[in-house]
Amino acid sequence: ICDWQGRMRSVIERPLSRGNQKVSLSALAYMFSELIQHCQSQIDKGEDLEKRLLECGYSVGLRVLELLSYREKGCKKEKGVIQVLNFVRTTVWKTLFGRQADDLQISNAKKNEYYIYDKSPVTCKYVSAPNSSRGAAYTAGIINGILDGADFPCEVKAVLSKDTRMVFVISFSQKVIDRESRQQ
Amino acid sequence: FAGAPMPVLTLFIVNKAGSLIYHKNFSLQARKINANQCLYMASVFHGLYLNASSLSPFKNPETAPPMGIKKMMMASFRLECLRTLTGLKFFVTADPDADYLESLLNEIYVIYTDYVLKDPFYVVEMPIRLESFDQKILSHISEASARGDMKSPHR
Repeated sequence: ICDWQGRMRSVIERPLSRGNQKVSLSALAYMFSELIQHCQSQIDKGEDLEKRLLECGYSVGLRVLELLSYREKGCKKEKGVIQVLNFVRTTVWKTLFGRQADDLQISNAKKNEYYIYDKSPVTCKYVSAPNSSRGAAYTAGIINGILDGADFPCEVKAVLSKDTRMVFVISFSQKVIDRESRQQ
Repeated sequence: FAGAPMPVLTLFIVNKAGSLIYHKNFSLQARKINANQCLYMASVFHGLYLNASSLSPFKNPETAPPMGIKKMMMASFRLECLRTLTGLKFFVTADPDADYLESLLNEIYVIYTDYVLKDPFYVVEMPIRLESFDQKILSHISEASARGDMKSPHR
């Protein structure tokens, strides 16, 4: 890390280290539990816990998009809805949770709704029903941040499906659907 | 599996103050007691535990937890108790020949720390009403008994 004049490169010129990729699950669970309790103590009457967690996840999502675009994709920009959702399903999930999300489906009823399935999201592992979808609100916020940052404005919600899988329901805004149809 | 013989009868969890926060029957042989009686019996056990630790001839240093009832052998069943460093008491009734209870209680303690203490909506020392904890305890005990780790010659 010395340049041709033999001086040490400054901190901003050194390559970004990948860091330690693994984190203890217990540590994450306790930290996340404390985050939820903190959010719950902060909300006043009208507000929703899910909305708070969504906001927390949103800021994480924006940063995750920047980091992973640089590291994994070489700063390429995704143009299509399916491509960006596949990016979320595979690369993002792999980096954050160590495995890929289970499934990606498009809704039969509404043209702008897509579903990402996950059998057991890490954030909900120790949270019992009926509260488990609130634990997933944070992950929904992360997805929301990534998609908004990649210029696909949308709303994301986490719902517990009938077969006990967690579903992230992604509803894209009309602008995205129009852009998709113009591209095709 | 409700019809299968289960060597473990009942599990009770008592908090630091002596009130019952969890109880579950695993076997059909376990006597069915109503909720109020359960609470009463748990506090009686808590009182007996404190009695035992004050009757003990050994004085514990201030930092160690008081030594109380660890095992009770009766003619028709046995009871084993685990007191954690935080004052929680896990006790389980089972067959008189069951000698695997100490490790079982430790495993139940681990499940407690995972599914109860890591749940952000659970208030510590309050009654445990968590579905995943229930399910996990049930599946752990049925797996252990299916594996043959809990053998009982009377079955």
